[in-house]
Amino acid sequence: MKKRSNSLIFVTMLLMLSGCGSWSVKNNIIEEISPTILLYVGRGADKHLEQATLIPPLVEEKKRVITANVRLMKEGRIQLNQKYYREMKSGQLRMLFISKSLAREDILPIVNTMMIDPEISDRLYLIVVEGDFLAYLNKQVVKQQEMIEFYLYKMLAHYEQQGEITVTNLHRFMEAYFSPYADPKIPLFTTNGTDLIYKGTALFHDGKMVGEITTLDDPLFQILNRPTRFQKLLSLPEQRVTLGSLHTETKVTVQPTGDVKIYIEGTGRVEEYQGERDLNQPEAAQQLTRELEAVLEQKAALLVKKLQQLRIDPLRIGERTLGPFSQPYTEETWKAAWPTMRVHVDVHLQLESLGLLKMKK
Amino acid sequence: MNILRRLFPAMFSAFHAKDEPAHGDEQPPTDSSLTVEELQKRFCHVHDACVKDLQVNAQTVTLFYIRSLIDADQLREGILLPLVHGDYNCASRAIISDQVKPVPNLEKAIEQALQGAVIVFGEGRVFAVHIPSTISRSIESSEQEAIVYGPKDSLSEQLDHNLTMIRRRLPVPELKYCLFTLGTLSKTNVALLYIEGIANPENIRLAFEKTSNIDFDVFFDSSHVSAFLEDHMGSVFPQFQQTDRPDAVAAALASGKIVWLVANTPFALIAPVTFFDLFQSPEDYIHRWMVSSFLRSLRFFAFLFAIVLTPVYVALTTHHYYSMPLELLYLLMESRSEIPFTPIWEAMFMLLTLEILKEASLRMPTKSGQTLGIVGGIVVGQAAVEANVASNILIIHIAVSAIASFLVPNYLMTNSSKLIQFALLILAAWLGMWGIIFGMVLVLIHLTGLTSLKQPYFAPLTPMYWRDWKDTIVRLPLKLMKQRPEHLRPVAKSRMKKEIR
Amino acid sequence: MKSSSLFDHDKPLQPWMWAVLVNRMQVGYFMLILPNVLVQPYMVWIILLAGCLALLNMWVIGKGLEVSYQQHETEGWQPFMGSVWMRLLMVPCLVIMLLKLIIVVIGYVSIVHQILFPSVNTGTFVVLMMFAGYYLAKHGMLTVLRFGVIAFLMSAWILVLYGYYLLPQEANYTHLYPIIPLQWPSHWFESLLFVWAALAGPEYFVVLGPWTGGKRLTKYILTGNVASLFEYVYFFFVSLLFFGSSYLKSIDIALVQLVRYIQLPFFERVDMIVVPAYMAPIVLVIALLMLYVYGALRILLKQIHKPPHARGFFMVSLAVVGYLLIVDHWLWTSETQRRMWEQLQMVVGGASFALTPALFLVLHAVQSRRRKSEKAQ
Repeated sequence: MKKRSNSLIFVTMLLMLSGCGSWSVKNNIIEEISPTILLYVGRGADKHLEQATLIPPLVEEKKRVITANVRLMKEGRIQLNQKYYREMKSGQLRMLFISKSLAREDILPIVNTMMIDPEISDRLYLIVVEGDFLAYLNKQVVKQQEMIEFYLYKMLAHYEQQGEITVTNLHRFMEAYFSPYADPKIPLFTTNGTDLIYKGTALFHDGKMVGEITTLDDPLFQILNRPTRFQKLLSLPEQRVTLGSLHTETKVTVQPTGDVKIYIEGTGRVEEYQGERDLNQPEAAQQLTRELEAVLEQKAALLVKKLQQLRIDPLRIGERTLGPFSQPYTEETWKAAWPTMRVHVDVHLQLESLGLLKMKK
Repeated sequence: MNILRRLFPAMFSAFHAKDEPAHGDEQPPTDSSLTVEELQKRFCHVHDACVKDLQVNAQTVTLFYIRSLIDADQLREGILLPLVHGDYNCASRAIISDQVKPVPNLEKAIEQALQGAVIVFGEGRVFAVHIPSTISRSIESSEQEAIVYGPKDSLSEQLDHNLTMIRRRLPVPELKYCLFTLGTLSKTNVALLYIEGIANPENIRLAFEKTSNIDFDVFFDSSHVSAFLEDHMGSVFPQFQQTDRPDAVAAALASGKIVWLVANTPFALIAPVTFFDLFQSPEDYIHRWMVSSFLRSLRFFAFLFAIVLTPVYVALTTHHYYSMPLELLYLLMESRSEIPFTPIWEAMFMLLTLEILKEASLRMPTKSGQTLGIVGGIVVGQAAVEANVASNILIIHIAVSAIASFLVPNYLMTNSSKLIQFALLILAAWLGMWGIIFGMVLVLIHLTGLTSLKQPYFAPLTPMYWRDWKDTIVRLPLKLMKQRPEHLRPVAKSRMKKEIR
Repeated sequence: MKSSSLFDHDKPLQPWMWAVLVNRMQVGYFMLILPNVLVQPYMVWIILLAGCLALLNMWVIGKGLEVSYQQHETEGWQPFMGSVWMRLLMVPCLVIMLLKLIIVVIGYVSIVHQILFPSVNTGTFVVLMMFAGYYLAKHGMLTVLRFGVIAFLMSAWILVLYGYYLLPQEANYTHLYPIIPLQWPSHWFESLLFVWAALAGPEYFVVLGPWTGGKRLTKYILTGNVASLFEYVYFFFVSLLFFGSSYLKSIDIALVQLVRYIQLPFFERVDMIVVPAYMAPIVLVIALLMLYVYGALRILLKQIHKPPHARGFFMVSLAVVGYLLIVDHWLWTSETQRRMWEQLQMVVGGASFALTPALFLVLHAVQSRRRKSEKAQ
């Protein structure tokens, strides 16, 4: 009897040591929470952070945009929470829209806050948005596009697979930020209040936006960014030609002399031609091919020059200098050498089809 | 040589028919209290206890029997007619029966009378003639383990018939059969079968020991017997396989297992059994091996599915909203938006409702059972969704897990899985996926420590017997199964020898 | 549980099971935190060096197992069980085992608390884990050792999941360059010691000779170590490919972050499955250590000649749980304290891994010589 009572006392002590309030768990019952999908952060009045989100998320009810003007990100979360009857949770946060003005300052504290929150996934898409994004959201709500955040997410998820535009998530941003031979980039969208349009790629250095690549150069940037790529369409309005189904292979080598050689091999077809040449003639076709190669070389060289002028390396050319047994550049020496390196671009195009129908006249 | 006879001569002498004197010629001295009057006194108020006096060659021969227990035809043809019209001067020689045994005392006489014997008093001797009634149902197909292709006979309540069916499949003298009488009131005959030279002697010894040590009053079913034979009474997992298929019994004997046949019940007990044995079906050896392998794997998957599907739903909707794809989350939020209960209570209610429907359909008369099933399943489920008592996704989960649980051939295992499901449900509501996996770890620990006739229950996984995996989750061609299961430690390992030993 | 069944060894364990047990003992909590310490690509050579040294130690452990079996067969240790020296030896043994329990249990529990349930007190998980360990241990040493297969199956499949990070889209192979260091790496000894301590665990098997059945197990133990080495190198490469050296330095539990990034069609962020799946090897280690603690206490309190007692084991388990809860509540509350425990385990665990097998063989040699001299007299 005494032994049993001793055991009981011991067990009670154990339970007390483990904590009286620890047996209950703060749960996340889905009908009691509001898992936000989209968050917008901009620079508001008084240099504060303006945060906004759409509520209620993921249900087909009348939506509205709620905003908070705060100094800290989590303070914004608390304020937004207080404006809605369901508790907001960040576990399903999929997109973070950052205003361009804020991006030009420094987004690292914001991104870091997202990183250290264990609820937020590293697959959070980062987007820089130019223009009045809140007006755009309000317009969508008025138009009864109840699932706008869901459609935006699907769009980004789709293009992440397809690779037509730049899509960056939290992990890729931080990995590029930390890498000694790379700089991060984020897709840039613009809005006129009615539509949200992909403008290009926002270029970053140390958490600050330092430049952008707009739509005309963006496809070329995508080609340079990946060793192999399939580009659905590449429009060259000045040459009045659109290339399609373009398979490209890009080889970047850094010579011991410090020169950078970029070789792009492309295989595709002419999907649209509104020029004067008669592409039935082999000479005309060859001329067009050579012209396109020259144009692409020039554009690529200008693009890389721009990056050098901005002293950033989003194309990760620095990584190509590394070998299993060699590291010719450290982080500091690469940053010093890159802006002054000579870059040669060589483009070789093979047009499989010139896009002509055999028409009987 | 009979190893057990050497080791346990006393035990064998008690049960082996050879050791008993035959046909009443060499009769031990009769107890003086063994008289008809004593029998009548003991069986007073037993209306069908009959006493019949016959004149045989100027001597009175008295017969005592319980009318409802004996076969009237055999009584007439084998005892009455030969005694009355026969030319023998000795009653025991006149009787036509091979089941004539001397009766030494009153208690034995009562016991034998209650087993369907006619107690014959004559010429100063008492002997018993066993002519039990053969009332039984005809051989039918198994309802619990029905198969499409394959033998359709099943065991019945008659021990002799069951033995016949098994002996027809294993006509070898090494198939040994030992009889026990269990139950002080029910006097149930229990036959212990094994194949000498295949079954491990240690298993046989243990089976004998456990069966001999049973002490209870009534045994009406093999489950009652297994309750006294099992190693772990606190486990939800059955430690004996119960089957009414004679082909399954014969296959078990041939692989080195021990079988108990219990009178008055068609279900035989088989041991030692493992967790994986309970997922096997006799049909597995009839289909092509690739098809059987797929079906068996499906059963394991279905079992796991049945126990975790609803708890995973509860875990995701209670704790882990962040791990659902957005499209799925959207569906769930839409379906759960007007449910007044939390996921755990919703799941509990619907699971309990399903169990109530299942139990009710078992108890209902056959004619209305089907209707109730349709009404309960479709109408109640549909009404629950429309009344926003439950979400349609949960109804789907519960229905699928209920159907999946029936893929397991062993009915007892199906019922065990329900309890595990409830336990995992509570853990899921408390600690989400961590709770479910914690529960699964506890179940796996339990299975690792469980034994059936002191043999590991989770073999051939723990301990791992590589060769036995040919016939566990997959079923390889029979030609490749040249050896008996290693976890049964059979004496004769190879199946391919001409002789068993 | 029968009182006498805790240390029953009537059925020996299959030889390849020892490989599985060695592997699971080595792949535990330290696997989860290893990439935080080893961040440069050339540190793979440190892992390989520590692994090769561990192989030598495994050979000694294999020999120790043979000796342990012989001692059991000849009852060679019996006269020494009650001696003062043996009892004194149990004190540091208990300290080492209890320290390992702290690291393994509270380390794992703190990861669960951080990743899955920040609102739940760590004490709850400590109690639950210890309950599972006790439940396994009470079935006896043989069942605990057999559970190694299940612990392996429940956690080894995670390797396949991380294969996703070897694919080109997520993996950046330039993160592995340069794989040969261009200058002598700093803190290499500390890293080596850390990996050495991470590979510690199999030295506990040196006294399990009765469960070997007299078979030679050296090659199986070596195989287990090679498998652990492969896992460490694999996870190291995977985390390096995904994060890169600089990023890896700033990540707390890289392997868990990796698994949160995986996106399956029906599940995302499978950390809620992977982190609990590591529970099985942790429960195995807990059960083993609890039996060892109970055995050591029996020697220390001169109870070794009496049969093991179910109630005694229960009380010892309760005491261990209480001790862990005290440490969790007061001595493992901050990042600093956590690092202090890890450093302590690195030193103590590494030392025990290095010295225990050798010491065991030395004791056997001394004991054999003494018996020979006694026989000669």
